[in-house]
Amino acid sequence: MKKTRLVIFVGTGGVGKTTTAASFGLALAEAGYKTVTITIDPARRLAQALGLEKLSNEAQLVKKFPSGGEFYAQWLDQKTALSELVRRTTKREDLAKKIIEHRFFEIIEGHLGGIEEYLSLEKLLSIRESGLFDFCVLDTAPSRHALDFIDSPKHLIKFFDEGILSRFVKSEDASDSKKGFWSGLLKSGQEKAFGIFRGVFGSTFFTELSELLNLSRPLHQRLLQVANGAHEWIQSSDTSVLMISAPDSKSFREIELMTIDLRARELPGPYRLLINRCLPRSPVPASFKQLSVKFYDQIQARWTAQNNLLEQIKSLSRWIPFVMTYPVVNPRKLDISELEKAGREILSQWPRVELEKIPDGEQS
Amino acid sequence: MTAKLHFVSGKGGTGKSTFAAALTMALAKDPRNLPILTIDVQGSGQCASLLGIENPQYQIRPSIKINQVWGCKIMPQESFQEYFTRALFPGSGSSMLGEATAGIREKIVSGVFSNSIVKSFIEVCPGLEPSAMLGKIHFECTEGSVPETSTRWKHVIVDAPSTGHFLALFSSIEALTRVFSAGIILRQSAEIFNFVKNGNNTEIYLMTLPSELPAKETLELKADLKQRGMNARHIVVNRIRPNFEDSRAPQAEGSTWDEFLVVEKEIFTEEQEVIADLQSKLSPTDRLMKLAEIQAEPDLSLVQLSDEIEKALI
Repeated sequence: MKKTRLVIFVGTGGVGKTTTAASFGLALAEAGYKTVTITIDPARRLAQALGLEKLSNEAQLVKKFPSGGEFYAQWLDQKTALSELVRRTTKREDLAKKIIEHRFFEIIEGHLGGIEEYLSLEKLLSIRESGLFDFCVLDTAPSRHALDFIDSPKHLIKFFDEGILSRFVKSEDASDSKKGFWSGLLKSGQEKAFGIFRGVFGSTFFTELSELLNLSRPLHQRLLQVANGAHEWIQSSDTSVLMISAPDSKSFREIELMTIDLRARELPGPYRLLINRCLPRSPVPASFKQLSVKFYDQIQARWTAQNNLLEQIKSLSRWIPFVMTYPVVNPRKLDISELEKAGREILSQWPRVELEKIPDGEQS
Repeated sequence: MTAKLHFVSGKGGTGKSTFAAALTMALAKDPRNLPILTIDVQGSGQCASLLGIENPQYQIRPSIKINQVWGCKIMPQESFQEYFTRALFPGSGSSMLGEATAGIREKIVSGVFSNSIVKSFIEVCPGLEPSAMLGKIHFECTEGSVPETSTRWKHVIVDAPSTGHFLALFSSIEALTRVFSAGIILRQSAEIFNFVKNGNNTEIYLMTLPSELPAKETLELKADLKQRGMNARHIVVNRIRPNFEDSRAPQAEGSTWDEFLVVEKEIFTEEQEVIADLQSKLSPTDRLMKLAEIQAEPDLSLVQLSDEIEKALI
């Protein structure tokens, strides 16, 4: 039974996050670790480079290395929806059907916008529970909302379990009317105000909502389990975060905002920063003007922006920065050896202590 | 006359806020388009900041850079309170409480909203928050005006959330119209949804990048919106690389920059293929806007970008 280290890749779109996550996974495997990279939606060419033609929700073996390391890739099918989760957890087709066909189910599904992220988290947890891997590299969605997956269990629990709706459900139960939602309001002396509130929504709304919540009670246990397990993992010392930025200050500002968000979500880190796809460090050759003035100006602007950012980062002691020089991976000539080359570059800078296998029994 | 509503959405990290700001600037060049209100739904307030609206809040504030451009940031709780108040006390006499005085009105509303149970109910109740936010946008288009005047907005530009959260905005209100069996919310939701769906009122811009996945995702979002009766006519491809021809004599600059040129050219070719493919999948009434990669000083690039947009819009 292995203990698994988790490396979360976070960054905005177009910075090569998915490619880098695959590369890093390969390099770890080459170094002898059993590794899985979980990715949400790989580009066709990346999937081809990895030899993965079919979508699969299970980890697929991509390559075995002489070192004994193995690299697996796993896709998370974003199309899997809440209904899938309901079917799996209730294990009773009649009950699942009742829930899914409820009039409110669709809006709840829409409302819990993080449901795909929740499922990612569930998959993630099953990787840990399997005890098969030394490392799990997780690629996240390319936006500031990428962090939703971390919060998704909280939303779900709030909704299904601890939240106001469950209190309200209790109150709809006639025998328990004194302790519930309505009575709370009545006690606070706002019954009139609340009558208006109810008028605005229409009178059957509350009854139907509580009916659905009662039906979905069996889900609560599993949700709670996943939420706690995943939260505990990402907040433990077995998890590190790699933020990926393009070499310009705008992309980096996004990264800083995302980091603030992550810290607010109690991810202790450590946080590393990868400035990906850097232009060569030497000045832009003057002869580039002959190519096209527009092109030269654009490259010059990119080069200046990159230098400014690299200077700025030097003074920020809270980051452990890695800088990857362009072109690490040519997107049109993507193959497994190109990916490995890029991965090695990160791995060579990765702290040794975080490459040690976690001893049994020490993981929280 | 209602204001023209513009939604800017698309994949995360494609420059939505910058585009929304540049679009506002491009429209503001013609005085007939003024006043303009920009609304930030993502909560970062980035679009407003770019336009010189400092520390944007729920309260509408003027730009200190551009005359007659205003901006605000919408938050779910505030939107819902406003939505709720309007539902109870519409301007005309048909209100639920008739001629409630301002004092009573305030008392009731603050009484309801100060209740912590009600507060968290709004937060978790499916579909309420997004619908209330859409309700606020709709209100600004149909009845909103420059603060303390009766001058109506000519354009309302919304820096909307990215793909999934943008869809949720509409799917939730659509679902609400089906779920609420009665009540004021039902009537309002239907009205708002019909307004937003109408192509005469609304323009939708989907931002994307010239590479395989963003292009694919954009077409999927467009299809999803279409299913909900909304036509996202404008596809904006941002950060397109410029072309170049390397006709120089063999160089001695060292290999890294030469290697860079080779890859850069390949990426350029790939980008053009993606754009051509995207174009071929759009209908004749759709418009594909191609924007260059601009990474100079923020202020300068915004002006450049708004010029480009202005040209593309004409």
